[in-house]
Amino acid sequence: MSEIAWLPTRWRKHLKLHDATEDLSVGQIVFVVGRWVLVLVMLLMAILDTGKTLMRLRLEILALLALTVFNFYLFTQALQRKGTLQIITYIASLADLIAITIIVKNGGYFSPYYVFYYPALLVISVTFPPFMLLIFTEAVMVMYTLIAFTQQFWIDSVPILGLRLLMMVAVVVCGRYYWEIEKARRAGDKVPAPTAEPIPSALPQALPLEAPATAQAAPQPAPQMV
Amino acid sequence: MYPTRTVAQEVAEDIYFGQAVMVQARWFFAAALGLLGLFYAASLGAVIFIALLTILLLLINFFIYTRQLLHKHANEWLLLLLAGCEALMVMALILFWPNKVGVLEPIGFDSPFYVLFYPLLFVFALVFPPRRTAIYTAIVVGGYLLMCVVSNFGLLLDAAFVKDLVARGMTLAAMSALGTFYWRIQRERRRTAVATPTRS
Repeated sequence: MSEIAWLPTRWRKHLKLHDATEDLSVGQIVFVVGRWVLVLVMLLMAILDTGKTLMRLRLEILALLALTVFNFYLFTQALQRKGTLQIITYIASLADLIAITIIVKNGGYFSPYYVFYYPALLVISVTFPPFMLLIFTEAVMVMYTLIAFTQQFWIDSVPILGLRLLMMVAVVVCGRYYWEIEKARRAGDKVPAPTAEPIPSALPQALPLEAPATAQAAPQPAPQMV
Repeated sequence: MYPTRTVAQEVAEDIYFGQAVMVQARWFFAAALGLLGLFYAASLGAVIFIALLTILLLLINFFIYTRQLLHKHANEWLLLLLAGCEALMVMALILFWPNKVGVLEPIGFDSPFYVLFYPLLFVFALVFPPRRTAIYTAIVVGGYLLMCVVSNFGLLLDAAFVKDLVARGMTLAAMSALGTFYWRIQRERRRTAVATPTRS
């Protein structure tokens, strides 16, 4: 792990970067595809907004082009199966979230573009290690709450803001939970195969990871009532 | 663990293990229902209705969770039915549930409750094969967008309305697309893990 050799050992263990590297490499393609979606939607928003000045439109398109070029770099890295430096992935995610926050900041609570946070959080939840995921999710929630509170907010909107934040947490928790389930399934695949048992072809009997203990116990006869 | 599987077995396993994610999403959905019911119900009847709905959802969720803890097989049609019911519930909330206390008129596009679709679409894509996910997403997102357009037909010429609609539609579809993409990646990883020899 040469890219994290500069971190103190205690931090490396805490951040579990050794586990994270494989998932970051594998999740990189999801990360890239997510960013393509973001670029496409932002481009559409820029084009559809007819009320802005020509200079502003130029700046937005330039920013999107820069994002596209960087995404191409990440995409080629993923296609060549080269692992991108973790720090670059974190910086790219942070840049995406800051870009979304800047867009949302204009309208505050009433901005409809907070929905961009959801795909961004989805990608982070299935790619980042738990510690970084927690930091990023909390940062997004705090940033959005601060923006909402400072711009034309009233007490009647607190439940709706709570609902939006709750759904952000839901996306992150579900993504992370799925990651854990898949990790356990892959670990289960490493168990030596049982000897010469027929593979059941009839469905919908699903195959659990472990044979349930109750299924192996012989059924006890019901006590006879006299 | 069997080293080779048919595609159908893989799908059945995906549903069996993935239903836990749907259970987690449903806890959040129930929490959201409770939140909406507490704050925005316009009458006592509405509070009771939403409370009963929340309790029903919790009971169903507990039933599915218990089945998985007891290693019972996953009932795929039950999960599909629940996913469909949840989408219908969200649609009904969007159409009829007020987002301000005392307001009783239908809302539609102005309703903020479409955010409930995001985790629902995501977990569906993580559990079910791509074809079913595509159908479910098309029905949910298409139905929602159609409802918005029909309820605000005069605003189609308004650029801000169209922008908002495009942003919502694309981000909702992106949740399903990214979820399906990640599902495929995980399937490939599992197949690679199975193909790797475990004995020397």
